[in-house]
Amino acid sequence: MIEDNDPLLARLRNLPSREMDDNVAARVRLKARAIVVERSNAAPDGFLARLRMAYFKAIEPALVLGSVGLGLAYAVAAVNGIIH
Amino acid sequence: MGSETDQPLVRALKRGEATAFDAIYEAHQHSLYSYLVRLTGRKDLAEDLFQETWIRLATNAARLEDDTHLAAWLFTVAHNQYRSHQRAARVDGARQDGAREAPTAALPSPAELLGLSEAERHLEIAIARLSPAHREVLLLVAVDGLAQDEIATVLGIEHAAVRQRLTRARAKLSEELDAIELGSVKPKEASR
Repeated sequence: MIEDNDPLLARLRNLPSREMDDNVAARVRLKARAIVVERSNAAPDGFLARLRMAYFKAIEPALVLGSVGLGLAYAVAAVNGIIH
Repeated sequence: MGSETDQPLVRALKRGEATAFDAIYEAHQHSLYSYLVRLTGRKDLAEDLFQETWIRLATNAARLEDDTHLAAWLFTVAHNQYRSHQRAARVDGARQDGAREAPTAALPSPAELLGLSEAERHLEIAIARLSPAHREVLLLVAVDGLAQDEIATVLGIEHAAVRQRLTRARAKLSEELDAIELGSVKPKEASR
């Protein structure tokens, strides 16, 4: 690659960083870090998140289907006079 | 830093660890700010884009892939912010019928200039005189740890196009440096 041993690009790479105002740098760091921490605290922890996902993906549909099935079985039984 | 070495930091950041954020900030703040200030030519704009980039990282931390290469991610966001700003500025400029003056490329402050060698000062002036397209590719190549395919991703162009643009930009930079070193560029026109 031309840039690997190009002296001009090497000079460019070695150019000193441009200095940012310390107050601005500190303000940005604090603001962004606060967002990281705040979002992490607001998110449910791993176990609760998995439990919640399991409830909505498996338990809730099973309960709904079970209720519908029981209702149908009861109706069929009632129609056929098995239960009064 | 490569994506493999970034993995522990990315995982810690996703867990919301402030120390991970600090480490990432420490590792990339100088290169990111230098890139933005040289690219935009304006300290105020560079600071705004810098802040917006870090806020984006913070708000998207939980959704990062474990193998995210942080430098590439940060520079892509910063570059996209810059592009959005340019588009907005063009619309704004058109509305004002070109009445606004185009921003001049900012050179280092007098205090910063004092710490630079003559060769470094010439290089800063030459970079400031390049077109934005040439400037951005050269500045990205100068970022430690960014591979060419990542630069292509940052710029949203093909790998071959990066090489082509880099070759032209390098030639233009060399031309500008020659002009500065021969004295045909006066300090007053250096920041145009």
